[in-house]
Amino acid sequence: MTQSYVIIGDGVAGSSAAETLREEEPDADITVITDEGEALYNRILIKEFAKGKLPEAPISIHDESWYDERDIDLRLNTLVVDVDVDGHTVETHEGEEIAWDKLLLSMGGTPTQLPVDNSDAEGVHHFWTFQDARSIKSHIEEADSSVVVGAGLLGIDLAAITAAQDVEGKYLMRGNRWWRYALSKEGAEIIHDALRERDVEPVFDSGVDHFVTDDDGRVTTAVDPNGDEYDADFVGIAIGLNFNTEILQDTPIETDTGIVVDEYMRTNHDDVFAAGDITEFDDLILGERAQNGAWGSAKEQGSIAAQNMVDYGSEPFEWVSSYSITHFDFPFLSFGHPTLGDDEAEAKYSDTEWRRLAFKDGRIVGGVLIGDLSPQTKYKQLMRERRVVSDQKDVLMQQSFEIDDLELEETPAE
Amino acid sequence: MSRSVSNSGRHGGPRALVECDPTELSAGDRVRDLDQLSAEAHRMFLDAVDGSTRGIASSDLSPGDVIKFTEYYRVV
Repeated sequence: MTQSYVIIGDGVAGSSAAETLREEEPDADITVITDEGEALYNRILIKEFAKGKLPEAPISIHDESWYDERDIDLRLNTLVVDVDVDGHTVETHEGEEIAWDKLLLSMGGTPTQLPVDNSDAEGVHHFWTFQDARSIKSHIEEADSSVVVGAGLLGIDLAAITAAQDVEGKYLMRGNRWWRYALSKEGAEIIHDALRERDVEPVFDSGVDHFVTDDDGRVTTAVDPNGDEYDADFVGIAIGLNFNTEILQDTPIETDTGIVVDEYMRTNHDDVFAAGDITEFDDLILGERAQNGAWGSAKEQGSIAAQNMVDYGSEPFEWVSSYSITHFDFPFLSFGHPTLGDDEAEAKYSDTEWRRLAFKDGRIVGGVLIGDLSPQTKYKQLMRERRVVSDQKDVLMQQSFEIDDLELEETPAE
Repeated sequence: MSRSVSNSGRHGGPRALVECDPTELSAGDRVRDLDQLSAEAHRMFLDAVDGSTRGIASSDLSPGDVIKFTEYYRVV
């Protein structure tokens, strides 16, 4: 009997799953449903479009013919409003019921709104979709002053966009540094200096109390909790994502902040799988449940989910993710889970070279490299092999570190 | 802009990287971020950029590909 697969979401996880399913099941019915109006695009590079560096065309990855050629039914501009797990159907906003034998949930998240007055004013932007990037580009090219809120990996993209468009800006942060859960003050200061060189001024122990608008409802000013006012006819907010689990509320599918899956990307229902940043998965390397929004992780999860939808238990998800920031003259790369762990080590080598590792139970679980990315392959290898190395921090922090310099057990830990 | 950062072998050998101007890309160019490369290509790309290898030879990097790093680089 022909199997039918329905995939909700056409990000890289959903698209990767569709491609793998077609390879594994040449005769299956495959439907991909997305509420966006365009097929898979390069979500990492939309910031380059918003900066004015890249034109639109190279951002697109798949056009609709890609799906036609693979006999995949792509439904654009279609919102799934209900999932009936027992009946094995999903319902769209137009009332259509689509049946499935196996379902993949890869519908990602929605930017978190800042819960302050006038946060929905004209001129206040969130940054998640290609359409968001188009709106940001159109507005920032006309702006004179900007405020960015959100001291994390997406917030710095917004700050870099304002800098690339030569719009003076203030970057309001609640704490005393950028990405404070992964960087020390010394490491973060390298980023702060790079922002200042580009006329983006970090403002610490700040944030937003409310926005002021003009008579037409356009934002003019951000007022922080200290009462300080910052002119801004462009505001960018990136304070996190809310994962799109609301359609699962009346189902038995287990959710927490995301959808809980095992290492095979299966939920607590045998026929329902999930992939991408929406999953809370058993991280075999970390040894606990984790989430990850990096492109490579989502792509791999989509492919792994598809393999296990066809043959459950055939392939576990085991991955060390990477996330790069390439806005500055020096490279920046985080890997694994640099915000977690029970121990750490860090070292600074120059004004633009810094390194930090996070350990859990003696093993590397993540890190951040600024300036020199060359040790990443070795650190990732130690992670994958679950080596206990936290007692050799002096060796790990040597600028030209080599694995052979470590005293290791002969057999990697399991 | 076409500064070469690694040397190329010809006829299917190791490829080179040159800096390129993103405003001159065409619609058909495949453009990726560093994070979208395979693990092997990721490592080779970084080695080529920092000069520790003279060329790159990965099935994930084809002539014409453009990679966004701290600059834009084209595989030639």
